[in-house]
Amino acid sequence: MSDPSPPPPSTSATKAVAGTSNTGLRASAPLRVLDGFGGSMRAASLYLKPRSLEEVEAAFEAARDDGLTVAFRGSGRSYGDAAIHEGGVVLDMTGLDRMLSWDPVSGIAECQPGLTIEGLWRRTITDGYWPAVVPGTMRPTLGGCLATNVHGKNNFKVGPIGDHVLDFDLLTTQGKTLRCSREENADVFHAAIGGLGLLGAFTRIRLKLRKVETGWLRVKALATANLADTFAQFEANLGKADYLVGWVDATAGGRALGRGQLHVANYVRADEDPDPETSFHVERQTLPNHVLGVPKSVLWRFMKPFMTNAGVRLVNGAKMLSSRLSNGTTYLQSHVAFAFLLDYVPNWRLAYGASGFLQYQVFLPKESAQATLREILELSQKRGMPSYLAVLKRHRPDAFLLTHALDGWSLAMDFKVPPGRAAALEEMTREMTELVLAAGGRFYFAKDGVLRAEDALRYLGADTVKTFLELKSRLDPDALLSSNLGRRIFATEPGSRLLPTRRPPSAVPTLVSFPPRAPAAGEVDDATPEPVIPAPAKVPGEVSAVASTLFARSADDAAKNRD
Amino acid sequence: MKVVLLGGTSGMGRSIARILAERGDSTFLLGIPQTDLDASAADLTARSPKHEATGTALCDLEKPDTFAPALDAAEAALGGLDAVIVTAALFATQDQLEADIELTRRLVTVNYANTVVFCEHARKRLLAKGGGKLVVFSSVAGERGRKPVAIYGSSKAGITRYLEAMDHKFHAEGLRVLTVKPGFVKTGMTAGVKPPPFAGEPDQVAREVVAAMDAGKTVLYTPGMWALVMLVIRWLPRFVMRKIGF
Repeated sequence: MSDPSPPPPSTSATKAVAGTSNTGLRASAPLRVLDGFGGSMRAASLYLKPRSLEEVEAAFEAARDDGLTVAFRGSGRSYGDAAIHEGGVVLDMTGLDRMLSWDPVSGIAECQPGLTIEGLWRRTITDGYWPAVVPGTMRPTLGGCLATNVHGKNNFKVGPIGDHVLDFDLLTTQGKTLRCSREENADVFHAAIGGLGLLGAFTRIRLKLRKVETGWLRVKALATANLADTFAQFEANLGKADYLVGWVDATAGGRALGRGQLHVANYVRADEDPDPETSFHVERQTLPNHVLGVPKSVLWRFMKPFMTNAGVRLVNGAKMLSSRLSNGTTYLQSHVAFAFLLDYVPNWRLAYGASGFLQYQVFLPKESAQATLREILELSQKRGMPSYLAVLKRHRPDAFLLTHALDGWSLAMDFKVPPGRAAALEEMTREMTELVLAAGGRFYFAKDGVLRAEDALRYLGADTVKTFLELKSRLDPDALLSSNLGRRIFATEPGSRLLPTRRPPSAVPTLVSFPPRAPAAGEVDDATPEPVIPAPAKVPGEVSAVASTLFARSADDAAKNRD
Repeated sequence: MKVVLLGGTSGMGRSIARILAERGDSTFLLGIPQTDLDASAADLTARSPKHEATGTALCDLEKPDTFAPALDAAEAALGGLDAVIVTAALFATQDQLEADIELTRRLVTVNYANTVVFCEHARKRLLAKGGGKLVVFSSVAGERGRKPVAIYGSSKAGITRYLEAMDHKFHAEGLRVLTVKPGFVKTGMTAGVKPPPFAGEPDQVAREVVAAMDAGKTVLYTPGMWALVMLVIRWLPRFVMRKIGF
């Protein structure tokens, strides 16, 4: 109003007065140990939560001044190391969570990157729109969804989320904002979607949602007897399904190998709606508060004792029995109840115990998918490390540079990291990776923790990697943006500029390892749903000399500031 | 309801503003900087069921001469005033404050003196219309002189007493004062500080604040567990307070 000059950021009345002594990020930013959602990979980093674009730019500058690199983090739902950054700065983007516009006529929403899928659908469902692509949980941010180019159970029909983005603004580390669409800066558009946050920060995302006639899906459950049957029934339903997903009992061997259950879902038309008055009410789109009589907040504790090979075999057996009994039944489900199965059990990841789990998704061309998946399932059983949850989906190719999709199938697998035997799991996935690469398959970085640079190079191709890195050196010439995943995937590419030059070469992790979990970490996690482990016994890696002094300071602060 | 929010662009204020906009209340944002106000106003407009536009005005708690013009602009734009919500404040750790006396001066000025001045401007406007709601965020830090929040807590103790007196003095005239005393809440203000047990989420706190405001309560501890924690702290004898670090 009458205020002639905008006040400097530090005088903002609503903000914490941090770093007033102005001695750089190393002194002012707290050190936090953040983990991937699988709980098997973690890293200590300086943590900042910008609340405005100006603060994002300021963070770039501050990091540059201090010789640090920067990674972005949304809700921390990537399973592996996409949003962790050892020894660098992590920018938590969840503070930028505003919806900038919503047009209920065209179904076009414009959002900041920190808005979650949940924040989006809660507003749009009342006007009869549902996000065209959603992952299995509603917690991720749109920025994270774009950076990993997530897909849903309808990938075969509508492509990944990137196919529904109209345009976005990308803030580069040089302080420039690029408007990117299929027409404008098309190369950046197709590389930054799925670009793992290595090219710049999404600051404004405009995407088109899907008009739905009702708040319901009609779901049909089908039991399958073995892998061939799973594939055959899947294929038979593909043409008529809006969504199609298969659960595979990865513990079943022999003739039952690959048995499971399919869920075929279709949008319910307006004239079939049992309750049209309330169809679009947010209250209709809910998840159950209890599962089998157990309150969902403590459900993971009941799951924990079953997270062994024998326990999962027992549970899967019961599930197969019930699925055979209910074979062919159809029922109505809300969009939320069908789409967000992973949100039924809050903190379900904790059921895997202290060493966490590895999520690993393989994509296989349709011709050889069945044969390769058979080998992979058999291998996991032979090694005594079957996947405790395996999900089969169908995909189609898309135009994004680092895409994981192809004309074929994928199987997403959760492997419990066997305490003390992480190397055995790593060895097994290496064999699986070899099978997938030999078959011409692909991988998905949000669900990965084990691919090596040479593996990524093999399936992406040298030209693709070169294109991506050239774009990176153009947009981010001093390689300010990095992450554990970025270093893992691109580090050994000759001439790579992703490798942060400021970092001592010895500190670059070449192979993934599963650092031991801090003893008290599980307990802390129980109390707070945030994927933050505040007090590790030891800061891993070469940064520990710097980090441990930082950490001492921040732990000291933490003890003193409880209000 | 016609609501003005100071500090409605971030943290708990942002969550409260969203709840109000989503249920169809008219909102007006005061704060700084303008870019933040614009983005939050767009957010509230998009969330409003009827796409009702949210107005903004620059208002800096460090500059008392911005208060009256900003409230005038809000009242004019809304065509009245039913509630004023203040979530803005400064926060700094005791270490930072002890190391920097100028920072201490700023913090106690903003959190006490200037907040009182802002509330006086707001109170007069509300009473001129026959009453209304004044919702102000204090803190559990103001309940007792405590080592880790010695200075910040004293500024909040002052505002708590002021609000209590406003309720005593003007309740009969129709002013409804709600003093909100949050415990630890995970917001940008506390980013990087390790959350203690019973830490709250901004959305949960915001729902409780709106419910308390609607119900006409005078004091709200949130999350609720902090009422119990502070009950114990208030009765601890001095020799114990000298010994413990809480």
